[in-house]
Parts: sequence; structure tokens; C-alpha cells
Amino acid sequence: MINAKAFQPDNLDISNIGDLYATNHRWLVGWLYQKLGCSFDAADLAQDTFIKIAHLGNMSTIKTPRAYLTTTATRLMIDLVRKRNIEQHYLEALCLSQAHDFVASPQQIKEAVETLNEIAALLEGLPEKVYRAFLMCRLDGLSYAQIANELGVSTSMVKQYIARAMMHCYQAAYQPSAA
Amino acid sequence: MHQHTMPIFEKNTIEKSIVEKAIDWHLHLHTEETTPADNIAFEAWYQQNPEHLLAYNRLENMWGKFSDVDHAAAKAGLEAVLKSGNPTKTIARHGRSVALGLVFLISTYSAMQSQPALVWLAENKTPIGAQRSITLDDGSILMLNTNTALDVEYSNHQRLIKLYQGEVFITVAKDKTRPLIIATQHGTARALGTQFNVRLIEDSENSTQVAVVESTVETCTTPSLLSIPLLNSHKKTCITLQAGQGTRYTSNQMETASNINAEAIAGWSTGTLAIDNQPLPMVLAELQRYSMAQITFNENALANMRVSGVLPLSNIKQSLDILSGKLPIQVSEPQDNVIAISLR
Repeated sequence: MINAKAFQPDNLDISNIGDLYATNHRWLVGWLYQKLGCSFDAADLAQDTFIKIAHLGNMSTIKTPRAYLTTTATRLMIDLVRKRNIEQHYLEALCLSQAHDFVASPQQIKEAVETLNEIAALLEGLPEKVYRAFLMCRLDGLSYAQIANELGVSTSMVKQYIARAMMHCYQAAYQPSAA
Repeated sequence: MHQHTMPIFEKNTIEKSIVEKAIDWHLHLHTEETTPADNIAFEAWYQQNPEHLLAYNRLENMWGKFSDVDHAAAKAGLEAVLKSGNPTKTIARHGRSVALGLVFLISTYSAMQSQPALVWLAENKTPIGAQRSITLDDGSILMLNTNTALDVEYSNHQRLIKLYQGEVFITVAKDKTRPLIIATQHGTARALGTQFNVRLIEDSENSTQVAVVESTVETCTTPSLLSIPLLNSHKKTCITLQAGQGTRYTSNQMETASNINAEAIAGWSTGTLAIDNQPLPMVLAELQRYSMAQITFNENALANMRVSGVLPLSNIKQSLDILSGKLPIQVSEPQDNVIAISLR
């Protein structure tokens, strides 16, 4: 959660972030505490919020610091909730799965959940058939014909779906829109 | 051959048509049958322009992410969060205005998770044995019983009281433009009229109890949000209570309205506990709510004794003495902060 390396980022503007932190850190922890009901989560997310903002460099353009902080913190909360959700289902499925070729270590599981969280963020916003087609192709290794059968569409539609999913992910990853 | 180590966030924006072509090639090479001629054509395209190379490598990067995860489990995890109705998906579509909706969901969600934290942070609290009366901005009078914690959130469209622990009795001021709602983790009690009692009962069942003294109250369950993917599968249940009626509810179940002695239930707000033929252990458990000192007794030994009457809540020791006057029991203080009730 708190990554020690993050405390030495390249473009950290120490002077400005110091004031923002001093004035607002306790308030933000309290605000997050109200939302999450867990002191550890609230402390972690507050730190992550300041770190994320610190990377922007120039603090002077922020007119309403608390609104800015809560907007950033909310995005991190969404991410946390989604990640916990993925983790819960991933672990359940691992337990239930028939394939016991290997036993995943906690570290492997943590990395898998991080990866899946990234992927989920990229796939978000796609209609159900589109992301299902993509996942059936990439994760189940099904052919277009098999996917077409499953979804009740033509094979050419399946290829279009998968291409659309990949474009959607590409744009989410490499052309992030202004928030 | 093809690199797999490109960092994700690069500044170059590549033209959409190039990305589309790269996707076309990528899918062809990864999911369809290819001929040697295909491979030659691909290499030519790949080397033709640095942007072709970059776009393709980025796709390889994305595609490769799935390699280190258990595929079946990954599918379960991803489908769970991507299903329609999921709050994070709604965020992606609607942007900022739904952020507020999600934050509300999260705060209700966290209410399910950690009552102790909410109790700790509450703005209005009473310690054990104390009672307090607050006059709210609209003129409503809110009485807090022993060991109670709540927050008051009045806004333009509603008058909300979040009860995290304990018991309140409220006399609601009339305001047709804003309903007054008392919410607990189990559900809501909404006032259409004037006087009712809400109690969070923390026993093995953990439920909320409402008793209406005057006019009408609508109570609704709030289905548990602990499993966000199952958001759509829980519906709320509502009933309407008239004066003299009460109910108990958990987040998943609402009891049908029953006739109760609402004045007796709300009697604590006048400093008294009215008891009508209750077993002694139950009365002692109720008195414990108001006592910092631990009241100890052998439940089996006292189970057959019944109590009727009115006891003062401001002085628990006095109440216990009154009981020992009516029943064959004795009250002693074997040590500091312990009161022992035993057979005489």
C-alpha cells in the first residue's frame, strides 16, 4: 500500500506540498475515515492522495485544495474498492478451480490482483458482449466460432468486438482523456 | 525480435488508423491461421514506420499482461467487476456527477463494515448512564438515551439522522418539503408525523427496533451492500407504522407491524423504565445499558422471577434496591464497579 520508493519521486515539489499537507492531511484522513470506516485504509489512501498530487509539481494552480483532494481521493477509493472486489472473486475462483498445477504464493496473488485491476480499469465502459468476447478469446482461448456460438452473434462480429475491446484498452492506456 | 519492455505512459499520440492496423495485425497473428506470406507482409509493415512498431509493441504489452494470472480465476475476477450495474462502471460512463453517488455507496458500504469507527467519529454522543436532549435546526427535539452515537445531516432535500449506536426518541417538527429520516445499518425510519423511538439492538441478531407514539412512520430495510456485485439482487422492504405500532428489522428482513406499548418503550425519555411482567434477567440486562458498573447474576437462578413496575433510570443502584424490595434477591458490591445480584 504505502510504497517507500514513492517518497523519492523525481519531480516532487517539497515546498508547496508541505503546506498542503500540513493544512489538510488530518482533515483528509478524517474524511476518508468517514467513507471507509477503517483507520488503516484511511491513512494509506490519504498518503497515496498526497503522493499522487505531489507528482504534478505545480501546486499554485489548485484553487480549491480540499475539493481537489477529495476528487483525487475518490478515484483512489474507487480503485481500492474495485481491487478488493477482484481479489475476492479471484481467490474464490482459485479455491474452486480444478487446476491445481501450482499453488499461488501471496506475492503472486497480490501481483495478479494488481494486474487484473489495471486490466479492469482499461476494459471499463465496454458493453458486456464486447468485453466477454475479448476475455473468452484471451483467457479461455476460444476460437471466433466458439465465441460466436456462445454470444449468439456472427464470427465477423466477434472479431469486431475483440478489435473494439483492444482499441478501447489502447486508448485508455495511452491516450488518457483530461480528467 | 519484438520488444516487451515499453513503459506504459509515453507522450506520443499515434494516429488512430495506425493503431487500427496494428490491432488488425495483432489479432491475425495471435488468433488466426497465418501463412509464411502473412509473416513477411507483417515484418514489412512493422519495420516500415517507428509508429507501427510502437503501436504494435504496446498491444503486445497489453496482451501479455494476462500471461501471469490464472486464466479461469482472472475471468471470474474481471467479470465480477465489469458486470453492468457495477458502481465503478457507472463512474466511467457518467463522470463527475455519479462520483457523488458512488461516494454515497461507499459510505453506506463502510457503515456496514465498521460501526466502531463510525461510533468513534460521531458528532453527538452520550456516555453510559447519561441522556441528552438536542433541539435540531428545524425545531425537532431529539433525545439521546444511554451510550448513543449519531450524526445529524440536514440538507435542502432531507433531514437525515444516522444512528450508529444506542437509542433515540424524536419529536419531529413539521416540514412538508423535507422528510426526516433516521437511518441505521439495517434500514431507515421515515417520519411523516411526529413522535417515534428508534433503537439499535446489539445482541446476537443485531437489529433496529422502531416504536411509534404519534402519527405515522415508514420503515424500510437497506439491503446489505457488502457484496457489491450482488447490488441488484437485494430489494428493500417497506412497511408503514401507525401510532401504537412497532417493528424490528435487519438489513434483509422487516417484521410485520405489531401492536406495542410505545409510551412504555419510549419511557426512558422521561427517565423511567416501565416493566410489565418481564423475567428478571431481562430487566437486569436492560438496566445494564445505563450502568457503568457491571451487573452480575446467575441467569438460571433468577430466570423464574418476574417483575412489574416503574424504575428510575437516573439511579441504577436505587432501581436495584427497589427490585430487591419486591423479590427474594439481594444486592451486594463485592468489588469496585461490580454489582452482584443473588438469591436471598
